[in-house]
Amino acid sequence: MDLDPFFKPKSVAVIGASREPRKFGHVIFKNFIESEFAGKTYPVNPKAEKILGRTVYPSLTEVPGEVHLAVIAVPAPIVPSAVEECLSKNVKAAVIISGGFKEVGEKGEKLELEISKKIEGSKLRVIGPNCLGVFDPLNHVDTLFLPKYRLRRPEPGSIAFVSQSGAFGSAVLDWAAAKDIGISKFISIGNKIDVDEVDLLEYLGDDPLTNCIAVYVESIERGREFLKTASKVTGSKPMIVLKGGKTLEGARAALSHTGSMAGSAKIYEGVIEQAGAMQAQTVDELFDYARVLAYQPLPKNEKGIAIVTNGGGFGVISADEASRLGLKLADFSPETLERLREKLPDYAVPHNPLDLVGDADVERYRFALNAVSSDANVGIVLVIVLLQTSFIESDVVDAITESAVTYGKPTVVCSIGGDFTQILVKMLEDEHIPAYATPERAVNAINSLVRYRKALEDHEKRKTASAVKV
Amino acid sequence: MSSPGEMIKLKDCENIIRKVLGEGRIVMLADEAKRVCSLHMIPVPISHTTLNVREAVSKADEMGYPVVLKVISPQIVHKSDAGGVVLNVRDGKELETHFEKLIADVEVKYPSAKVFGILVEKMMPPSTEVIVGAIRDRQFGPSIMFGIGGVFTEIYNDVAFRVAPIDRVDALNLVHELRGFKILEGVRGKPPANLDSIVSVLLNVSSLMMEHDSISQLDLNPVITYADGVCAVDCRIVLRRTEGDL
Repeated sequence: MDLDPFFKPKSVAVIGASREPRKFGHVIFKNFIESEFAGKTYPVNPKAEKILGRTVYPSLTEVPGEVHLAVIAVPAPIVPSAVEECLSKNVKAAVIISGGFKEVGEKGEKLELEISKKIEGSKLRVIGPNCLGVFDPLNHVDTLFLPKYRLRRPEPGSIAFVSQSGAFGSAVLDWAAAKDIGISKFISIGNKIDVDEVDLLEYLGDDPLTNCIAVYVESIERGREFLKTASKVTGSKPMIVLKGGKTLEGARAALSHTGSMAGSAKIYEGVIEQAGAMQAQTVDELFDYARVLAYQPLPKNEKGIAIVTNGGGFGVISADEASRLGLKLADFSPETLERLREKLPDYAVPHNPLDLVGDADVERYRFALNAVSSDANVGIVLVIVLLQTSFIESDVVDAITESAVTYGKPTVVCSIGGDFTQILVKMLEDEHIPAYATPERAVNAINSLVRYRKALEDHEKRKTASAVKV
Repeated sequence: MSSPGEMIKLKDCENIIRKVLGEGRIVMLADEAKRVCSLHMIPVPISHTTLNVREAVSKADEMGYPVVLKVISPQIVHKSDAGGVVLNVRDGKELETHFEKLIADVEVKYPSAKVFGILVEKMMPPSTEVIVGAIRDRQFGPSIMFGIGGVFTEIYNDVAFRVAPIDRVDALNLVHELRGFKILEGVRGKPPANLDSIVSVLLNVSSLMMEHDSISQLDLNPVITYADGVCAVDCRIVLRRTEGDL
């Protein structure tokens, strides 16, 4: 199955393109013609002649050229006939933005069924209805009906983001853009009449631009296919799932004890683990993990974490969190301890967490990061840097980046603070070093790296086991 | 793929299932469920079901005391709650007394209940208890549950699931996922539980669910764990009449 036409269409028709600037059909049409989208864009609307200076076609069938992707933004009752037109025009992919379907009750459900019947057996693939559709920053495909001054679009990056909820998806995109977090593809799947999370996992698993897949779902209909596909995908790239609707619903008629314990949340948890994916409990965690998994290497061995800080308390809190999660702190080698003792001031104790003390400058960071990163006992580096002291300037970013690149060890930063801190955090994010506002979040991000490495080891074990069987 | 022994095992189980459904029941009797488990290599205590008190005593003498007595009746599904279970029966004399009393009690409390027999079962020494279960989930199909017995399951809901079929890696991860995992490693001088045996039970329950489409829910509660093995001392199997049921 090929979903390419959703992300790399050579031509797009916006059915329901509108002159009215606030209408969805207007915003979407504008997204295409005002961007660097390389293909043709055709507005379709029987009631308008020109929109934004472009000639409007009264119906899809009257569009002169081939149409790869149709974006449908007309009222729900007209959607079936729009889909009909897509079929007769041999459109490859359609995004149905319109709401007013299953989510509003029986009448909408009937409409959905009508559309399902039409597309059954055809080659037309459909995303939606009741969704935002697709955003691909590299190919400038943008079916989001939210104007850019309201919802900034993220730059191209390596994280793919699939969201069942449009509102959640769009808010997160806006936030990601503000944080300089890049996105490879964003897909809001809405009511999943055709394309669902399983199809997209399959596609994104093979997408060379995607390093890491973040998913927000509320329901998974094709459970066993999901597990199978997700298990395959995590063999090559990390996947994080935030499952909405965790309440212990539908504990079934309890003829067995197991039946009464089996809230759907528990089973979803198990499925995510079984697939080798990471479960995010909160919105923060979803992208905390995605950022580090997309951009940092995995720790190479069972070695521990080195914590380097200019604030003692944060070092202690990090160590506590690491211990709570069962993560090991590195024992520095005698050589490293000797180096640290020689160079650091007397009042800085060479010990892990390594407190460089409040008067630490960039040079002290540079030295310490080199010393601990080159230590064979260290697998992961956590740099805590509090920028409130006047000793540290923005070139601390260079020091952190340099040691991360030189030693190839996963590196994350914890930095908490206001405007000045935020500037440096963005600089780090640009260098693909994830930075977190609290030590706990940073340590949990490290934990996601360790857990993903374990998932890959499990994949290996299974390969070996099945090889033995044959 | 299946060996002759394997085929016989599956056929035996399917025969039991067909008999239960044929009698209009969906909950297996304790001895039926034990038989199905045992055919699937899940260790259960030795036992014997009879209505004859002398036969009961002679079998108990053979297996050694203490023993447990359980009423086998389709009308008494929750045996313990109904007073249909006697634990720690220490000799033949005690057995005789309890045997007669169990039958008499049922006659008084459940006059319409049909008693098929009294199950005499070797009582296993106490040790750390775990729960192994299975259900059919609407989205994910047959799924296996694992939990640590007692307060961990009841209060902390410390159970975890995997979708069947599971492999050894899944089974081990499932066991390690529990917050109470340390209990199985042995605390306060208790010997560690035999993880290999727990893993085997999980794998066997997984194949049991995959092989018998009519089994909708299963409880092994508790499974008692020892340093050298495990024993499922209570087995409960619920059937479904059609595929649409869960």
